[in-house]
Amino acid sequence: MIYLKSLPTFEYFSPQSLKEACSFLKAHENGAKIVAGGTDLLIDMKYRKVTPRYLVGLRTLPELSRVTFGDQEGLRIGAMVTHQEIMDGPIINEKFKSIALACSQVGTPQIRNMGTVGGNVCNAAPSADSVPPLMAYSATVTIAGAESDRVLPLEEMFIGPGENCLKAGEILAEIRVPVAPPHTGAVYVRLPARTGKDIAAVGVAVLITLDPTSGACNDVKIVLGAVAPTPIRSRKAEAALNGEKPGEDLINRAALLSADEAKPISDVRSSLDYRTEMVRVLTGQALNQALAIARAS
Amino acid sequence: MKESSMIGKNVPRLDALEKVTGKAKYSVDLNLPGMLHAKVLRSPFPHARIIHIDTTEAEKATGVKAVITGRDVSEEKIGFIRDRYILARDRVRFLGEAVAAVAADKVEAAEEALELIKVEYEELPGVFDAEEAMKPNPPVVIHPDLYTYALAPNPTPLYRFEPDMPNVYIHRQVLQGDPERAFRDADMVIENRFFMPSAQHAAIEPHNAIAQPEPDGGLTIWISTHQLYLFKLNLCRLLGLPSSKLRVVSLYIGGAFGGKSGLAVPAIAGLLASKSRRPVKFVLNRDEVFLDGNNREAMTLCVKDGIRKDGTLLARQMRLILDAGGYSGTTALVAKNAAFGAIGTYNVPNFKLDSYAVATNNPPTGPHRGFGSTEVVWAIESQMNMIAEKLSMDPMEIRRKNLLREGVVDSLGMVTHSIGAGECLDKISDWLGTVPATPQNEGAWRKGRGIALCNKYTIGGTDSNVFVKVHPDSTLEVRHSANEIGQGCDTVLAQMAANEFATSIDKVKIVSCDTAITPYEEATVSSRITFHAGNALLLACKDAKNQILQIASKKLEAPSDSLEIKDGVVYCQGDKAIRIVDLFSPKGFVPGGGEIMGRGVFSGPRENEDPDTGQGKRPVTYYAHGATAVEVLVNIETGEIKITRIGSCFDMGQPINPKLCEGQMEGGMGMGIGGALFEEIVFDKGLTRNASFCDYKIPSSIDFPTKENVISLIAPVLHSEGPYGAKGLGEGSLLAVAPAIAEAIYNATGVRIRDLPITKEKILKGLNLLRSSS
Repeated sequence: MIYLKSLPTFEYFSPQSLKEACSFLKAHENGAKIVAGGTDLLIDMKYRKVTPRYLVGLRTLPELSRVTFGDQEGLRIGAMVTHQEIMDGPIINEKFKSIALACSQVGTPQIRNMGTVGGNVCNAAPSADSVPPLMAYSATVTIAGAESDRVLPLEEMFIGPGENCLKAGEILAEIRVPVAPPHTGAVYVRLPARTGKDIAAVGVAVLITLDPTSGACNDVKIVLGAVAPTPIRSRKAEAALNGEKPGEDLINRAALLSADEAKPISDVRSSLDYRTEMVRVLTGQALNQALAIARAS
Repeated sequence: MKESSMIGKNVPRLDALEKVTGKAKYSVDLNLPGMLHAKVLRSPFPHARIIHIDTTEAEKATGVKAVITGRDVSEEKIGFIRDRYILARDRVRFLGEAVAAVAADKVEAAEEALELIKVEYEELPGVFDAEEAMKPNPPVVIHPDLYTYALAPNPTPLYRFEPDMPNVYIHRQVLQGDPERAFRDADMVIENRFFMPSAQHAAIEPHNAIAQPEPDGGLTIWISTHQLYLFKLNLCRLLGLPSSKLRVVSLYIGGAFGGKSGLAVPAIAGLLASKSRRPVKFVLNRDEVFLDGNNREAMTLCVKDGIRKDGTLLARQMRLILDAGGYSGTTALVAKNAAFGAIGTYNVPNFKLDSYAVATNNPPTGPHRGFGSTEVVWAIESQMNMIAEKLSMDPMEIRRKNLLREGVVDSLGMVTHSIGAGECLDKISDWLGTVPATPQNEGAWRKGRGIALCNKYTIGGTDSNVFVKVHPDSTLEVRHSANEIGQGCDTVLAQMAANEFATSIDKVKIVSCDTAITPYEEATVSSRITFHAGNALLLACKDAKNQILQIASKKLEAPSDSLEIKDGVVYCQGDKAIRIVDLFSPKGFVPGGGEIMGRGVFSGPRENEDPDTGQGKRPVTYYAHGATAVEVLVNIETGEIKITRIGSCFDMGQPINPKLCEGQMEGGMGMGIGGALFEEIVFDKGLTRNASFCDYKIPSSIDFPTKENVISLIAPVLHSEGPYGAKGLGEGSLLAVAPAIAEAIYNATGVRIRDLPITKEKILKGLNLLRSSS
């Protein structure tokens, strides 16, 4: 039994630039942690899962708190943008509804106003709500380093539960979401584990782009949350749909394939069997909803 | 009865403004000069011998002022069966049991010092399943000296030890008539097994106490509890203090629901304060509340009923198995009192009940709103629905047919009085039937409705004492020791006092819960305060009024029975009158009488019961009755449940403040939804796996229907002994919720759930079973 304790002592470092932040993190490799909203980190510290000597705050860096949009470069979300800001953002609601919706499902207003999308990604919880719709949109992440920056597909960020791919001195700076082609529908459906406000037992994001003339799927992304060590793409189900005209049978088959690809665990919130079954149900729902949007657009 | 201006009125709660503005003080808010903070070290094993504890390093640590272990605590133990030391001595019996405590100048210093305490354990085998533990040859005997332990003096121990079951704390029996014969005579016998899991009360304010050493060698302890005087009695014993040297104070209590009944927190604070000679504050963290916060026990219930074809209940046999945990806590008493809930609603001529409180190496348990009734009502009401279904009867009709009625002797031998169950059933089913249509079956969502009844007993043989001091400005100072735990007792008592003096509510001042100045109150438990403290208050008012009338009668030269008190003035027939202020001398003194101070003492009925059959004339003081109706939508693909409508109707006798009664009902329905759908403490070989609000979920506002779909109704049936005919309500409002929800889910889906909580997964499993069997 790990007990809750008082917050351990730490020093707070407030960098003047992203480069300075990266250098500081590199210099104190194991002793420093980035604090964004703190909604996960401070709890981990109270449970002594981590006891960093330094917390590096990024609030002084305005470039990390911006949301911008251009028809060419798409949506750019700074890592320090909060879930509430994404949920309320006009351009995100207009053009990336499933991302806004996913962020509206995170925690409660207090959590959404503190917790950031960058934190949600870096914390690498399998159940992170913002991640599946971002992955379905083929989002990339810009990672700043002390020497150089790099850009990765978002799905490559995740190594395992609570484990991301950042190396010493690296900071997730930005998430970029490309504009989807016309005739695209994107949705996120989730099932709270127990109460109405609870961690997702299963979350499914779907993005479908249709060929307007044939009605066949040009591009399908299916991303499953909370049912594997990391958020995962359901590639077999995607392959079954790509190039095909989706009817009821095909959707049911794809949903079964997704359930087959999920590798959930049993815990106090939900069992393996139930989660697996819910992947099938929710994938079916998400595919139907996404198709309806794609057909209407 | 005189015209009553204050009774049945929705007077705003006296504490409303203080509470909504955040000004109300709770003991967890208190900080005293020079105060230390306490923390305890807890056992990592569910069952182990303590070989050695070394506190040397901890004592030397920075900021540490006192360290205590089992060696420092008194021989006196706690529990209904005295089986537990305040800090474990040579054995730990659950994972999380406190073995040492530290007081330091900062919380952080106390936490760090705990890590310096070295404890050598020898692990012992554990038993974690009550049914395994109660076997004649269990894997381990948790309390080898069980039969030598002392017992709490009160109330009457009505149970026995079972020498053939060495882990059974108590076995409680009830027998009326000849159930075996009745089962043979019955047209149908139906038997089911139900389960209700362990649950946390989830009060917002965690358990806490602050102890301050006094110059006379005594202590003042502020405690968040609902048992002020019971705590004082026991803390004197545990701390070795005479009554005169221990002052216990409670401020507002941030919720209790039975949970703040454990003595370890104030006793540890007191011991550390005595040792360090500094004030010591001890606040449990939320995870500690889950481990040692007197959780409700898990109960398995087997119910066997014999029924005639026409739906008449002939016999009922119940077997209750309570997983009391490593120490008996109050669960030994829950095992006894569960019988009251089992017999309070229906007329069952042949009745047998065997209830066992069993020791396991799970955390110890205690009272939880309902005190055994939540569990038995869950089983009995579910069973009534199943009987109705088998007989193709309306579930309402089978209930009405078997209800106890005024004057009927119940299964414990008590004459039924003041039973509004039928009226509650009628009113709430009318509401459910007449409300406009709600979403029908749509897509994967199925609609269903359910109703259940409940009763809540209030224990017998308890006492209340209330003082009423009349100030020269004619303000009534009501001194009482009932804890304001959110239920509104201050407001209810103030209304009664204002009514007795025919004055307004702003002329009443409440002074409560300080053993130095407020009088004895048994405990704020068992929904007993309105009735018991209320009756004591009426007597105190009568006493104070008599004092006033005697003085006034001399001054007005009129017989006291011709006088009447109203709005701070004593009126005489005719035109003579004298203000209360004029009864006092200019120095604020009543010549010849000193102060005007009324005293009221009320003792609830107490009758001995037969220890073998549980039969007695008055085992219970009164019953509150009620019914809850629910409408749900269930998703047959995901098992999701939406409560679309919920309403309750209760008979609490005369409602003193109907709005407060509605508040109790709404709160009870919310808590009931939690117990029905979400709440379960999960154990893994004695380890609590969900000791946080992240992993143990309680409902929030979005799990509750919107306002227009919630109702709280009142169907009062007056009680002849209650103040103005009032009874109690607090606990009852929770009880019928789970069986009503379960019935609604059955109605919607055909899935019958017998084990709480009703999770999405259980519904889906049930649906799959139905599909595969059809």
